[in-house]
Amino acid sequence: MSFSFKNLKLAPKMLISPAVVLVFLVILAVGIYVSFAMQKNALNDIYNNRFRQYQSSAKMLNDINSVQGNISRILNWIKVNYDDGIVTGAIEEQKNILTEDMALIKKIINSSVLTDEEKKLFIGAEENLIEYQKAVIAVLDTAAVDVNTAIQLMSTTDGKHDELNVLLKKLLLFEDKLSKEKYDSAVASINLTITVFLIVVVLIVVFSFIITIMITRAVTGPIRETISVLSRLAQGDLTQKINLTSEDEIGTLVQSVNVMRDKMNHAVGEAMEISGVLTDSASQEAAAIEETSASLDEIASMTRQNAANTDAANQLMIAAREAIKKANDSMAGLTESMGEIAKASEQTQKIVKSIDEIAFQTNLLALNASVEAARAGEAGAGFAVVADEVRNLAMRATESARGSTDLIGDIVSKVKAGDSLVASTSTAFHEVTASSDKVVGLMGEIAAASKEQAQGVDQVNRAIADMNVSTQQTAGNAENLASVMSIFKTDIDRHDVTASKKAATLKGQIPLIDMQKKDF
Amino acid sequence: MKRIFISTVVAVMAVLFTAGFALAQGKAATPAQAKELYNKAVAYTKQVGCEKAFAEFNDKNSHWNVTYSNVYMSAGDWNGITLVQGRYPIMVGQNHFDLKDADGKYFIREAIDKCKKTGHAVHTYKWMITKTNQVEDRTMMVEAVDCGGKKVDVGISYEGKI
Repeated sequence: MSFSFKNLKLAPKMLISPAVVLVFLVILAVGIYVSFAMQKNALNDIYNNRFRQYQSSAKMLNDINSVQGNISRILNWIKVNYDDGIVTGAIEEQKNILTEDMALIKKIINSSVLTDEEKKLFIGAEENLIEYQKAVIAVLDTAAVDVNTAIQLMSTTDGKHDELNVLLKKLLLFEDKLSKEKYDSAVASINLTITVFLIVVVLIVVFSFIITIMITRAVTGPIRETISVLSRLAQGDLTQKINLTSEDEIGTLVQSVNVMRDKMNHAVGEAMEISGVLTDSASQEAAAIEETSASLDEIASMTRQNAANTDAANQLMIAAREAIKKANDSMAGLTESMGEIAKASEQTQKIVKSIDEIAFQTNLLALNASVEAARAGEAGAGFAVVADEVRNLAMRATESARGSTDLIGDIVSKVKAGDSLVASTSTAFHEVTASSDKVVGLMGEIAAASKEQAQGVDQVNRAIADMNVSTQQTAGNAENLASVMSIFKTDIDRHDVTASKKAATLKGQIPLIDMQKKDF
Repeated sequence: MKRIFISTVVAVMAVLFTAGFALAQGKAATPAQAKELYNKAVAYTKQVGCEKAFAEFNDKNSHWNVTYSNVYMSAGDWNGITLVQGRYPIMVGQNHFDLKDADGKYFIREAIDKCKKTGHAVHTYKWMITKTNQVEDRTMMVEAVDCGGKKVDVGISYEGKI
């Protein structure tokens, strides 16, 4: 109910209350009409059925009482030989009355309005009436031929009459009871109708009041909410959302407002995000530029120092080249000296050989001397000791000569090795000289390049300073934008902005950094 | 005027008719003649059966009823229902069980009782003639006959004493 009610358009919503009242009124009218129709039926029944049958029963009761009385009169008339014509007429009259009553009771029984109990009573009455009629006819017929018998037959008629009388009285009471019941039920029904009427009228008033209030609330509630949300939107609070899902005009309005809010929320959120990112990146850029500027200063000074160092190195290299030249010359002298040393050594070797041969000769002489001494005996003993000493000296001289020979051989070989070393060193010195010449040339070039570099770095530094100024401006603008944006309140999380957005923002910075790299 | 005329005509015709019958009917029977007719009627009933016999007996112009001026056929069951009334067939079907004679006796009951006991009854009773206001003797002469498993009295009514 609530769902379908919510989705109703405003016009039908407004019509619900009168429609409900109308429906109730129609129901009430139908109910009252039905009730009145029932009263009418009850009245009809009371008059056309109950009263008619009461009437008929009363007529029959009256008839049989009158017939019963008349039979006695007729019999008495016959007994006293009353006028035959009058007697016959009276007899016919009684018979006719009973025939009429028979027809009447048959008609009543055949009518469809009887209740079962009523019908039973009427059928009982009919049976009794038939018997009574028979008895009456028997009495009247017999009276014509033998009044004595007829009078005696009256006892039967009396009995039948009494039974019929009782039955008809019962019928009267019964009809009376039925009428009373009908009347009572009709009165009860009318009372019920009046009660129901009053209750329904009260219900209609209450219901229509409640429904009208409910509908008014249902309509004005969303409008109020929409208005409050719109005013907050107007103040820049974009986090408001109207939770209303009806499909009426207000629902459509609310949806439009929600869509507008969503789009604004999204757009402003993104703008805020981008301005934030912009601020961040601008300040980062400024910092980077400052760092770069400082680095460039350092580089410039280093470049200058480099150039100075290169100059110094050049000077040093030139001095080194001179030194190397001197060393080269010394090396040539050394080579000559080494050759002379080698010659002197060979001469020394020859001398040592001569010493060795002298020592050998000496030894032989000592040996001869010792032999001579031995021959000399005691006298020669002192000479023998001297000969031994001489021989020992000769031996020692030989040994020393041999040691000198080895030493000198070693010196010669070493001098030869030194000679070759000196030769290779000399070659190396020549090469070093050539290299140092080249180094000096290169150093000169480096020094020139360093100077140019220092000039380039100065230019870059100036450019960076310009860039710094513009970056500071950008950062200031981004901060202004962010502060302007801050009047809006969105429900989009700052970290919520898609990675691609960030990437796109950063991408813009990467070429700049690359360019800076190239410049160095 | 017209009604009086018709009544008069009817009355005259009734008188003439009665006179005619009186002429047509025979003379009064003696008790012996009555008894003879009674025997014939009983025998006839036993011979042809109750139904056929009673149909003839109830015809007041049949020879059973017109042979004698003072005898007519009569029959009734033991409950007092009149089965045959040769003079006044209109009474057929009436219950005469409680009928009393001029002396106040239940003459029908007495006759039935006799039949139940002896099989037949010759019962004389006193009857008030209203028109003349005189009491006359009447005699019922009946025999119990089996009528399809049911006992009934069949016989004659004699206007006089036997």
